[in-house]
Amino acid sequence: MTIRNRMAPYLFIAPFFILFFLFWFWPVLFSIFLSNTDWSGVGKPEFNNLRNFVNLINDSVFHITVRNTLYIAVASILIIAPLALLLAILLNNRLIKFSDAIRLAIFLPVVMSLVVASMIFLNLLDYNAGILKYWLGLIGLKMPDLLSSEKLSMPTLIGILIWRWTGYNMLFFLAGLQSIPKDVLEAAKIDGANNFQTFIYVTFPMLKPVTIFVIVQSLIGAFQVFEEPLIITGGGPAYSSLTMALYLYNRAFRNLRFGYASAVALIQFVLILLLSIFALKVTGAFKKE
Amino acid sequence: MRRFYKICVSTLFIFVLSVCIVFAGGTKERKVEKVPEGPIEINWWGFVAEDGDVMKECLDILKSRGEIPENVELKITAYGFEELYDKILAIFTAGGTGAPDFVEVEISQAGRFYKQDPIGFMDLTQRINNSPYYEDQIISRAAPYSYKGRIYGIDMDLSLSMIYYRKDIFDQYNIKVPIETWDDYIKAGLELKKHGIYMVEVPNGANPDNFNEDFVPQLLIQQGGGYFDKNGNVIVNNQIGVRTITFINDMVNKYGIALASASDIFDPPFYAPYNEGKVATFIMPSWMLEYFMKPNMPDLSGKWRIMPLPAWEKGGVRTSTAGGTSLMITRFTKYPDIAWKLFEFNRMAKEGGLIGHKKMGYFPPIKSLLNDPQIIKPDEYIGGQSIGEYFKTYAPSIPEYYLSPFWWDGHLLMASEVLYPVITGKISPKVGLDNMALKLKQLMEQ
Amino acid sequence: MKTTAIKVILIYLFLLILISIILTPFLWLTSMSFKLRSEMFSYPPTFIPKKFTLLNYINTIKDILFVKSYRNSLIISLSDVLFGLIVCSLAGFAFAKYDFRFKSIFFSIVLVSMMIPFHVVVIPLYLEMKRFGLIDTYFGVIFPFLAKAFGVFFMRQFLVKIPDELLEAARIDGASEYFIWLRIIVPLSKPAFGVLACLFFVENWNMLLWPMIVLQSQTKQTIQVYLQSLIGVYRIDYGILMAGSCLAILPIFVLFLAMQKQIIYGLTAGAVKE
Repeated sequence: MTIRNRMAPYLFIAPFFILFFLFWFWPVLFSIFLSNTDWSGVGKPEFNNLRNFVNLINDSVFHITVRNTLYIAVASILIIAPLALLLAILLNNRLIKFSDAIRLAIFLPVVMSLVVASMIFLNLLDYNAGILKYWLGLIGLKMPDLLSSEKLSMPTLIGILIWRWTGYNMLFFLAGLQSIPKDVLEAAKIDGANNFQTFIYVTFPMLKPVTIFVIVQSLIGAFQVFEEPLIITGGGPAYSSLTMALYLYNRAFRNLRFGYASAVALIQFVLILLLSIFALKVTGAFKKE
Repeated sequence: MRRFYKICVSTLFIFVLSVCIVFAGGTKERKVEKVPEGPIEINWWGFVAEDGDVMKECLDILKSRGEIPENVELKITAYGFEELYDKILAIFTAGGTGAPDFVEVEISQAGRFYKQDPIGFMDLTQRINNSPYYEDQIISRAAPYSYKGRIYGIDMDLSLSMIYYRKDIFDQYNIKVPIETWDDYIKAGLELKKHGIYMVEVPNGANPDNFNEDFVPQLLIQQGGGYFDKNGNVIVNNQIGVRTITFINDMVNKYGIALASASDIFDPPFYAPYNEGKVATFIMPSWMLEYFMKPNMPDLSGKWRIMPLPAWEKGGVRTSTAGGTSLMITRFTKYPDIAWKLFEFNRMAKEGGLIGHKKMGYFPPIKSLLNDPQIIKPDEYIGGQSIGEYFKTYAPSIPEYYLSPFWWDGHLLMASEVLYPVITGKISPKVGLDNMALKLKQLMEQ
Repeated sequence: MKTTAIKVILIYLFLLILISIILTPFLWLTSMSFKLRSEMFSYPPTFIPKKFTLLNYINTIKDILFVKSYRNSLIISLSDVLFGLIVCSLAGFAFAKYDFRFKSIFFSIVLVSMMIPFHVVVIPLYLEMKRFGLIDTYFGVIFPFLAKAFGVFFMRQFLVKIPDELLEAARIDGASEYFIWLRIIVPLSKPAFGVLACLFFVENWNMLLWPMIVLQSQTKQTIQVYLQSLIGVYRIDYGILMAGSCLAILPIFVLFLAMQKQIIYGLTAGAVKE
């Protein structure tokens, strides 16, 4: 290989890495710096020597947001992923006609902007005049106060997230299913396995990479949930639907405490990292390499 | 060789595409210095475009009198409410590039900017005090827009609180007006309750971002309380606060005369119970009429009347205030003197105030206007009564109140720590308020 | 055989209910867009407007800001796709087909970068944009998001499958690495590009916070910012909001409708493996 050819890979990854260092890495460093200061956006940031972190430890609202966000993360992994997988299996079956159209329909929620979707849900779920109330009334049920109840606000939020992300994850599972060679499945059938056994012992293991990907992506996504609680519940009632991302936004843009907000962001990042590594270890991703 | 040309062409194409994109929207429209002879552009940013039109009229009048040069133009830009303040904040943070000259600052947002030092808006204290129009001002309407002794803006509206009531419902069930004290109000509510009608809709604090946040403060202020005192100390959990929250809670839970709802006055569902005739009064400031009641309950025109707030004790204060919008000048303006002239005319002069009233329906805090027949005209929505007349009587006793950089936190905490837990019966008003005060103080100390 | 038939019917029923729930928000949005303001919030709610009207759509299209915002969003999103594909395919190619020092470290950085939440960097990023003079420019909106880790990752998985012999043959013929990328890899990447283009486009089209902060001139706003700005304090123009939102969803809807098969094909050919 010529010198130029040896340089080629570095040149090829250069655009990505230049962009990354400029627009992500450097800001993260600056953010770490900020997390040790008090800064309202103008003037000089003032160092306050980890006082932000001490305050975070004592901040009961912050604890609630961590709990809420973890709640979402767990729900994503235990509800959205399996549901996506189930749908992928159902729609991979040639017996189901119109599977193309159905797949598109399930994927569609991803397409709607978060702001518009949130407004529509606000409308649909309204306690007094929403369409859900009307439908429940038709079958004789009482409308639960979804948005004004501490107990129900988080499940409602999670329901909306299920609506939005199931189709997206289903797509990946579909791809995974369709890339399983047919002869492997044939072999299992010949060996006398029924559908269920085939799935457990053949299909699912072959889906491991996709599953890991979906789980990690869901984890990352769960920590960034922001628009839906902002518009639909405002983080209430009584902080029950306040996510870390929304809390961060409030502290930064409403309170003008960028130092404190950066500290929250840092914790967010560290948690994502730790949980992702944990998830990868648990699902045995590292064994493959 | 052909391949080589193809590579060149494709690279060139990408290059040209990028250049096109850059010039389609990439170049900044910033000139370094404006030549005085060319057109001078004053930028007005707000969230209600028509308020900018009022400013335009003011500009035209000042131009015709020669007080402002002919080549001054006003550019009005209306942004969404959230967007406007996020943008201004971002601009102030980045050093002021691209800052407009005027910003319409709503009262709930003003406190946000007091945290920065220096504040991004121009200190107008001297200019206001020295203005020939100073004596004519109901200057308490500048209090919320002042911080640490410096004034940054004056409200466009008197924003006096009052009771709007359904005359037809009151007549039907023999409720006597005027209602003198809050105890009488409760008695009236109990009477209406027998017929399945609520007295008022109150916020339940479920959504701390989106609730009728003016409701509680106006009651606090009526009694001389509030979230903060003049020096920025937290006073929300004092006697006044406890009495107020207890009152609201009792109305909902003890007497059952108030409907606790999660809607804000901006949401159409808020008005559904009113339109159905299930709720009889509003306890809200004067701007409720023009901006909220008329657009959302058009069929109820003529059925409403106004009366002063009931007093907490016999002979007590009968009015309060909440909400409002001011105009502020950014300190990054290139034309401070021209901007000031416009501000002064628009905000402090009687003529400017009249233009605003005619176009937008608000009531400027200008003393000489209180007697002006154009202000004191009857409104058929409230059956021929006149809000202007109401102001004449009650404006002089309008209480002052002071904002703080933590005003918004106050609202959030009021919803999450006080209203919601108290109304759902989890804690007592005193405990809720103490929690709120504690958290506020923590925030302030951090 | 009977049990299979019952199973199929049950599955269809399940899917039917599911689809109804999933599509309700869309149908509601569409229904609202054809209603007059007075009917929008009435109870009981109606799916089929009692008074069908095109007024909202007419008002929306007449609004020049809407049209401009739409155009801006198209420009920004398409540019994002174009540049994003270039960056990702170059980097993906390098990771797929080359061995170089620190390769695994670099790749780990790519993976970790996916985990950085946007809110961590938004303020410093804004200050940087100001320093670079990119405030109120389209580039300012696009640049930070061109480092698409998922795209790099995906391209790498896809390109790994391309036989090395093909590249070796080209090298023996005297082709430069860049040439190989442009004339061999890129054409072969079409399925992957199809998938990524769709995903990049959607993500960019729906972005709100960043364009809102960076772009200042009203004429440069994107469609999402425009829709958000309709949520004013006193007068929310629900008509334009609903109709505008429907029109905003349209390009993506059409895009996915047209590219359905390609997306699945691309995802399968890419066969997401870790």
